[in-house]
Amino acid sequence: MISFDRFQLDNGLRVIVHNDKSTPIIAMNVLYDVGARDEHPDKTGFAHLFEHLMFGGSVNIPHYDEQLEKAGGTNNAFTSNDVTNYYLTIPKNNLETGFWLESDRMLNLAFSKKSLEVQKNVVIEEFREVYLNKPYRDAWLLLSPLAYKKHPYRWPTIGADIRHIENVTMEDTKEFYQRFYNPNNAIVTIAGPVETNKIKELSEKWFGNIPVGPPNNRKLPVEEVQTEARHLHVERDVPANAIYKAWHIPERTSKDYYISDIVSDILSNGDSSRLYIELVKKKQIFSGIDAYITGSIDPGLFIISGRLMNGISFAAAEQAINDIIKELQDSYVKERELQKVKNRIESMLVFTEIKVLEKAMNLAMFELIGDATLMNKEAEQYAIVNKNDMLSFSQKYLTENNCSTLYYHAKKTE
Amino acid sequence: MPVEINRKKAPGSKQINFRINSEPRYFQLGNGIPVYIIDKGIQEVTRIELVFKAGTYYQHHFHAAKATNKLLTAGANSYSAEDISEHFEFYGSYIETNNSKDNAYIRLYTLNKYLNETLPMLAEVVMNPVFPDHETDIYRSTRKERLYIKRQNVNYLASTHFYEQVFGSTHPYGYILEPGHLDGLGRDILAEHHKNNYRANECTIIVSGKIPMQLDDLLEKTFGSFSGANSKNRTLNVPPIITSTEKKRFIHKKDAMQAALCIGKATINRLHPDYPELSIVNTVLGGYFGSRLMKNIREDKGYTYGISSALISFHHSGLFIIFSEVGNKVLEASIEEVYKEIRKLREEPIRQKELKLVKNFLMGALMRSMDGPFEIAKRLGVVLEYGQTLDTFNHFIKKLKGISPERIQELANKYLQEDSLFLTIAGNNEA
Repeated sequence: MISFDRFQLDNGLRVIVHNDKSTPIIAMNVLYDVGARDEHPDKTGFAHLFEHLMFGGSVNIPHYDEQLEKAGGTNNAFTSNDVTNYYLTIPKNNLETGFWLESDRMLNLAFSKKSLEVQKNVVIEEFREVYLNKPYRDAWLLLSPLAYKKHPYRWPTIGADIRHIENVTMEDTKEFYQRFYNPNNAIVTIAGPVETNKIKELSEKWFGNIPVGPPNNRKLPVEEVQTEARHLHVERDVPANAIYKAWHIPERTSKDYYISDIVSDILSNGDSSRLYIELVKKKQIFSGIDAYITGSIDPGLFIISGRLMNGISFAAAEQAINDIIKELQDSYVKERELQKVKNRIESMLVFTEIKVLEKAMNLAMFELIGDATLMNKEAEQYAIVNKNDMLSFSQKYLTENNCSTLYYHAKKTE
Repeated sequence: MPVEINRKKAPGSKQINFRINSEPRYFQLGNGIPVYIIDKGIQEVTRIELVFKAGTYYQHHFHAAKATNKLLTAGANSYSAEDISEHFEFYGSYIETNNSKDNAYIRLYTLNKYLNETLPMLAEVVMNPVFPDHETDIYRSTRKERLYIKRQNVNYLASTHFYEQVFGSTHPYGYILEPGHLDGLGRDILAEHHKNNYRANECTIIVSGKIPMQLDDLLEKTFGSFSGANSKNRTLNVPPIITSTEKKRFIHKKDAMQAALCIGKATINRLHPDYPELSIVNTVLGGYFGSRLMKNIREDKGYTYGISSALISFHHSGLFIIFSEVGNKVLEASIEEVYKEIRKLREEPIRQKELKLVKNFLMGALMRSMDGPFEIAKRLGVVLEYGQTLDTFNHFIKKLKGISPERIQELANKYLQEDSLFLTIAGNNEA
């Protein structure tokens, strides 16, 4: 159970404070409600590139990192399809440095030309290093546009094409900043040995006079219901065939989200889960296989991906996956099996309440999807899922017509 | 109303003072196994780590140490692999096995309320593994598949070849795993590695979290009778480290979009008196986001997504390594800049401003690395391997506060001469 205080400044900035006296470290998390889903289809990868630019200096502070390091702090950030999230940790007596740094880059970025040029190169190298120059890593770049036809989840966070990054202009970055990097579009979370009054004071002082920006009236195209199976075959220079299957599932706040998470755990969370026991150990069809959900805010995907053992055909591999799914649709999950998955989730939730940074990030994310108090209701949401829910979930969503399949062929070598 | 503030001026940042004031609680089990306890948590969870000197260094067959470690959970006593994982998972616990060049680790993360259920099973996998044939068969084939995939990665190719250049192709620190090495690995070899090395007199236990009262007794009951099947001293026949005469090696990877590069050498480890200060030199060069290598090669030139350097300790040697993946076209230029930065470190004294920043950064980093019982346990594990205590970190703080620009330059000259460094590149075209 996480206790916290919450308040809002006149400019719309939401601030959440969690007091944890057991540590000398404070975590400060700044979440901006903007992600790759807010990009123009011809300018994908932009939100993530912009995250890099946020470290290129603000009007009053030319070197963000240097100032933070000087105060004994460290930081990082990530961009997803949904959000851009910045976080830092700092020794408690230097907390104000965090407020100074984060408020200045929310107030006004420096927009250095050099930073833009350099970071475009850095991001292009990141694109290559993480997605293109490693075996199987481009699968997600292929699967997203197969599963999504309308919704912007059809391109990955890194972008659909390196050229989109190359073509970014300074005007693009300024416009994006003015539209999304505003106090009314952000959530600040502070976790550590702090008092709410002191945080209120610091928030007013540093963030209070940042002007309010335009409202974020997000209107995204809604993905139409998929009505027939989709298939894509590609060939790559990899040692083994792989298969990726993706089914559409409901949004993060729906009850079905929790059911889908539990179903994916029944299939693959730990070495006693069904896919591993049946298809890796007993039948030896896959050398590795996973099931997971994308966890996105808008309707996401339920994914099964596996690498085929040598000599196994795609048809046999797919049949084996389908048999496992059929079992979920035809018969109840065993009582102990369900309890096992729930125990593991309960324990996972306890383990995520150990570090202040993790708590700060989670509080911000729950506040974004509706209300930070949801964080304390997670355990309950999972606990109430029963075997009937799982049966109907599997029957409703894990169908062939709702599925996109990527067949990733290993190039034949003579 | 918001007050007028000067945004150009940093809020006065305060000197960070940090010290480790207490050592872990210590006792020995009846069979002599040392137990270290860090009781600091607020959540009702415990991490139990067993460390054995049973890593790659001690194996008689290629890959035997790693395979033994991974297959501890593949069957023990009368329990099958599935029984074991189902048991841990049912009680919401996590078991983690890990093997390094010197050690083997088995870690259990468990809710305190289930300690009575999870601890005995942990003992089974550590003390009574059986390495069933069908499990070792599956391990070999999936491991081979993964090896073929890894060999598509330029970073894997560069780093494995780099280790071979530095430590030699026969030494356990340097050899490169080939698919053929896996062929003969069966139950006999693994059982032998286990018998020889997973023994009470090679074991240390580190416990951290919010420690329940009865844990000492529970540990005694579970591990106190563990002797290991063999109490004789181990026979070791480790070949000597043979450093390659080949200073530069290029591994061709067709169609690679980036090249991976490693630059470095064998060097001192934690036991050497210069180590704490050399680690500060390493931080300046490539040990943090604001390091000289990052500033130059990423933030100024945009040649890479990341570049870093590290000082890695092994029980019988140490390693200094610079690592990066860079665009094909800028490979040569990147290497040149790396050497330029090393030369600069040797030839010019660091400015006070930069040194002060590094000192503060490292102080904050140390503080963070000691945040919470699990983190302290991890740090403790590292120094215990070298017979040191948590007070080692206070010694480091003292060195950190005192280090001068001259001393940094002196150490750079002593340990980082450019012509002593190896260079390994994996990519599509040679620099």
